[in-house]
Amino acid sequence: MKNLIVFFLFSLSISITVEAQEDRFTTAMTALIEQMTVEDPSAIDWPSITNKLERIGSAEPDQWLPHYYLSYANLQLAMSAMNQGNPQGVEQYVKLSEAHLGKAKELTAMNSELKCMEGYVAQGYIWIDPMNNGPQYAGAAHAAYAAAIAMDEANPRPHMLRGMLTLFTPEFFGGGAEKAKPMLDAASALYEQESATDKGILPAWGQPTNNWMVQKAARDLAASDE
Amino acid sequence: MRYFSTLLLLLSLAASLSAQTSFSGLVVDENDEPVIGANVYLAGTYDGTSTELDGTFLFETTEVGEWILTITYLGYENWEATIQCDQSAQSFEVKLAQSTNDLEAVVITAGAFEAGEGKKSVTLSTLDIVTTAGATGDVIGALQTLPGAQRVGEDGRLFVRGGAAYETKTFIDGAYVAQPYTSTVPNVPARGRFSPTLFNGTTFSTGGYSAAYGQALSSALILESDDLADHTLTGISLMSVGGSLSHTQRWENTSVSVSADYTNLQPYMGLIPQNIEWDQAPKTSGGQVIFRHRFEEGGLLKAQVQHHASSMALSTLNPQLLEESIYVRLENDYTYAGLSYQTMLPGDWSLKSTLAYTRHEDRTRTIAQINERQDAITGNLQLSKGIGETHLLRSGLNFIYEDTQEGLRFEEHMEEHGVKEPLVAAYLEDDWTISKKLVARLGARVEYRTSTEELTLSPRWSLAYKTGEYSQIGVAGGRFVQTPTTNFLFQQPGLQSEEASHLLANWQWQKSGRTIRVEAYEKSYRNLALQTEKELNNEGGGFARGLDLYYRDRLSIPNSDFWVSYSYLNTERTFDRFNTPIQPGFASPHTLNVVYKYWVNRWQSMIGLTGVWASPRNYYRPDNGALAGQTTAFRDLSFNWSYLTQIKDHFTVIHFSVSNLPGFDNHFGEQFSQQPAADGTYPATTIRPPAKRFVFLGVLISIGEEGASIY
Repeated sequence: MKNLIVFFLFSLSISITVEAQEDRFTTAMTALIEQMTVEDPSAIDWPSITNKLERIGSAEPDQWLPHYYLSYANLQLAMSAMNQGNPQGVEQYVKLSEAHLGKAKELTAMNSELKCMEGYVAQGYIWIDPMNNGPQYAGAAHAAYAAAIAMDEANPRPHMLRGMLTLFTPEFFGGGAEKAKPMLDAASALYEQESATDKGILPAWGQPTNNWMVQKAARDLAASDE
Repeated sequence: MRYFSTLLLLLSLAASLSAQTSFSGLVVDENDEPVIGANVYLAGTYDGTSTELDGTFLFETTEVGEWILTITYLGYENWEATIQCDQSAQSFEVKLAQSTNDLEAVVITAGAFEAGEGKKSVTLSTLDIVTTAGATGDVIGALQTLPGAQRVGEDGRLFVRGGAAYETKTFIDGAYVAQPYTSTVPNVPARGRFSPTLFNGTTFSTGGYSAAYGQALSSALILESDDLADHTLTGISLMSVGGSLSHTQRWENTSVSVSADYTNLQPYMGLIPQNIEWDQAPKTSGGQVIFRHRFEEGGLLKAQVQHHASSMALSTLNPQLLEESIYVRLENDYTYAGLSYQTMLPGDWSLKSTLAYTRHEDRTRTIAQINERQDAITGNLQLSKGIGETHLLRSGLNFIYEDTQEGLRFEEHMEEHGVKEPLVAAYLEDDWTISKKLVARLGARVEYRTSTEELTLSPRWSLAYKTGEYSQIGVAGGRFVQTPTTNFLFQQPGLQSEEASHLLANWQWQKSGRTIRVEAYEKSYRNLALQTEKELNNEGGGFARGLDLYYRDRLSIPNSDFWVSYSYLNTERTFDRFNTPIQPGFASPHTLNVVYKYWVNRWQSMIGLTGVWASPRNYYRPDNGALAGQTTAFRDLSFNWSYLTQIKDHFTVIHFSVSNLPGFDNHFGEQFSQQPAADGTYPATTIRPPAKRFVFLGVLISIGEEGASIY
């Protein structure tokens, strides 16, 4: 009987540890996602976030989300390197982003979010050298977004990123605000639905950027009407 | 009571679990500067931190036992140490070493200009080639703006560092290409046969190249064909001189491209005055099919077939007398078929194999009828393997079989020649990364030429050393052997191979958007074919030495890209019919190219200007029997305008280009009568370009998926 009680206590303690560990993962990820989705995007400390994600990834070798978010966060770093006119930095971060996406794909079955990130990485290659990489990677990005939409019609991110690619592509290459607007509007509607559900630590990013792009597209259209 | 003791035990265990080990310290780089934001953590746990602005860190862990303390920072090697979590306070001072990733690693650059994706040497992309003014969309034309290339305006082929045109050889996927240029008549420049859009990698080596390439005394143009086509796409191009239609279909693992083209310069030449009296302006028609397939296990199969037929006819002065004009008509049929397969083999060996067939037939009708036909089969089989981090081993077999037949008929007189030249070669080469800063390439090539039973051994070597964050120096050298041209072999089939040795040294500085490169070289020639009064022998020889400078800048002027190249060349040789050392007719001591491209966003246009100045060359004068004539300096200023737009939602480019904008009067020497006039002088006529200017207008429409274009 005594032994049984000890055994019971022991197994309880193990299950508590396991639960605590899972809790720890969710808590840590939730905290990081909060840091990634603050109102003012310029206040986000991406290097510290990627460091924390790397630590979580090392402690949770079976979880795909740390690598998925690392892929996303490194693209944000690539974008700021681009804005600073540092093409070598852009290349480093985009390649790192691609490597983490590869790791995430090894850890889970292909899904709409991963497919969508594939397109985003291709878009990152365009930032490295728009003139030379644009034609090749724009096609690859569009194809990935189309596949991501087919996998999950409720996912707003492929619509948003397709809109981003189109909005920032010159008109003579088939881009521009007029073509981007319907994509961004579709994303807006899907973001409304998404914000009504609780995604937990699953991907739910991109609404503020989409709102900003909807406004920019409207301004661009107004300017071209004048 | 016993429960109580168990509880105590558990409690004390819990207490020990919450007792913490702390880690603190400082992380610096190789210059002892603090590293900010490095990730410091116990691998496999949540515990860790980022370094502060002064490079320090501090964190605690409740873990116990043995763990690995890890420090990572982008661009630096990971640092690791095995530590014990024993509730102590531990302190570390860590110096991170810069990693040798592909962005900063030292690479072999001596002699080579690489172009293509991901290549770190000096690059020209497909877009660079089509937007280089004066190149008229030809790979060869664009390469002529790089240092080391000479300008021989009446010829159009690549002449490199004092070498004749036949000393530059083209290789596609490792296999020798028998006829890389279009067929033409004397003094009408040839163009490259292969479109720049077919290749994703181009290496233009002006000396000291790898043992994988043989049969080229001066230069190797190494082309790597594209993988699967990116998109399904239809391309329409309408030009002032013809048009083409192409369609590419992409499936998951397969792509097929079919294209047909037709060019006819007749309407154009009717509008623009020509220096040549054309009876039929050059016209070409042909087509191409490219098939590519990726197998499930990763192997890649590529097949390419092209056929083109061309013809031209003109009236020219009779070279015998230069009095009356004679009619010359040239017809050419050209077929190229290439098959290549590459895959990974067990044991991490990588296999590349290529088989190519070329048939080239020239039919010339003039006073005499001359038919020349060449069949060539060439192949390459290469195995390579990385051994550890420090060695990349390459070994391979090449073979070349060229069968050239020439028939000449003059009235009742018939003459026929034929030369068959089979050749096999084997090579072995190692890229050896000796340290992060030093890499060596050591190789050797053995060739056996059956017709003369010559067995040659050609050692090749190259070294590169990184002298700073953005700079490196390199040296290279080796022996290069080549079969003489068929013209000589017709006369004397047993003529021995010609030979050159190269020695070159370079310095290169490269930082995002800017490149400076200086290269000095010394080349010596032996066994060149020499026509003496008595016989044709191998007693020719000579030297070429010089200095090449290159500066490219995509940063200093916004929306601009420009490069400046200058070549100094000092060369003399005995060769052909020149028995005393002389600067050959294809060598200019000084060549300067300035290429400028400017993107005008408001006009959606790329504007390009290319300026060329090459000092006068020698030409042959029969009156004193030597290369005593001097051409004018070669001067050119070409203009290119590419306007990017949409026609019915399809990406469209309108190209407009004009060569020789200022109308320089370039002379390429004189053509002399082969017989002296009654007073002993030789009548002569000046050789000029076919036309003072070339004006081109073309519209290129890409119909396909979003974001697709044919570039």
